[in-house]
Amino acid sequence: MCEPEPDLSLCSDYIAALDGSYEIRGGWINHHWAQLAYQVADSVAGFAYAFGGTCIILFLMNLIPGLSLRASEQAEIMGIDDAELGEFAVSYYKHIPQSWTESNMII
Amino acid sequence: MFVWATVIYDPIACWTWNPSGWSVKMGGLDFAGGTPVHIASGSAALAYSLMLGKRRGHGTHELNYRPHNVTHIVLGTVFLWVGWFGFNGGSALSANLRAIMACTVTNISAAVGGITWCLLDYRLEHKWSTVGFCSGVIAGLVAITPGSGYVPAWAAVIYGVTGGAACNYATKLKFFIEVDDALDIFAEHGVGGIVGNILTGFFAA
Repeated sequence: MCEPEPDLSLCSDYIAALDGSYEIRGGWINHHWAQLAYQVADSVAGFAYAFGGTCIILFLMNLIPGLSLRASEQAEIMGIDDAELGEFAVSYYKHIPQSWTESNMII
Repeated sequence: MFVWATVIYDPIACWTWNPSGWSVKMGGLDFAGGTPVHIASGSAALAYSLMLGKRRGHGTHELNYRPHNVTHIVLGTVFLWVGWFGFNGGSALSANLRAIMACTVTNISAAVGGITWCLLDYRLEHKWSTVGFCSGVIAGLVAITPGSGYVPAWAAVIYGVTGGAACNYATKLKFFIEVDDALDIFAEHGVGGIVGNILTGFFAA
């Protein structure tokens, strides 16, 4: 959005203005150098807020009984599909003969 | 999920799109959600991977975690590619020329991103990887998200190349920081979103 003061020829740039009303000053190709700083500031703020906030939410969630983040080790070995749903989401590799996997054909 | 959307996503979306949000007032440009959608989801996924810890047996030869179904990857990529036209084009909020420009740059960036990633992987393995192409398409789509609706069509090629290359190299980050990010969500969405935001600072017009 443009301030009313600046030169209007710098505003209303042609892609953003295609909807008939939106006005921007544009980026470096419009010689509007400060735009990069705005973008970086927005990105860094978004990253820091989301990363920090998610860590706090997960830490608190993990303290609530029944909302533990991590499945039990047994469930992890069985596979979460079998442990939670009682059936295999992708069953074929469970039926591969042991001898195949030992000869490095699969893993 | 409700808590996360309310506490994390909503404030970021508000500062990005609400006319009185601080980023809008500052002059930040984000058409379809580089910061609220991609950087937020990417960094949240990184945080989750960090808090959850590594999968059992990760990094050993006990289990080799690889994509197990290429057909599903292609199918998912196709869904995303099509859906992204609604996501970016729809962010113009009406069926106007700006929505068409947003769709055009989205398609160009996705295609160029896929080709870029494919070429980078060819250098390593001398194979034209389908999985690599799909990853590159997502990288290109993510990168163009904040810029669609602001940038001319030629800039979409630069978005695709830069997004594809940056996300490709960013998949190595998880080995440096030793976080088991199983689906490379931070590399794709976090880094892709940051690259897209920064490129928008160059090419918005």
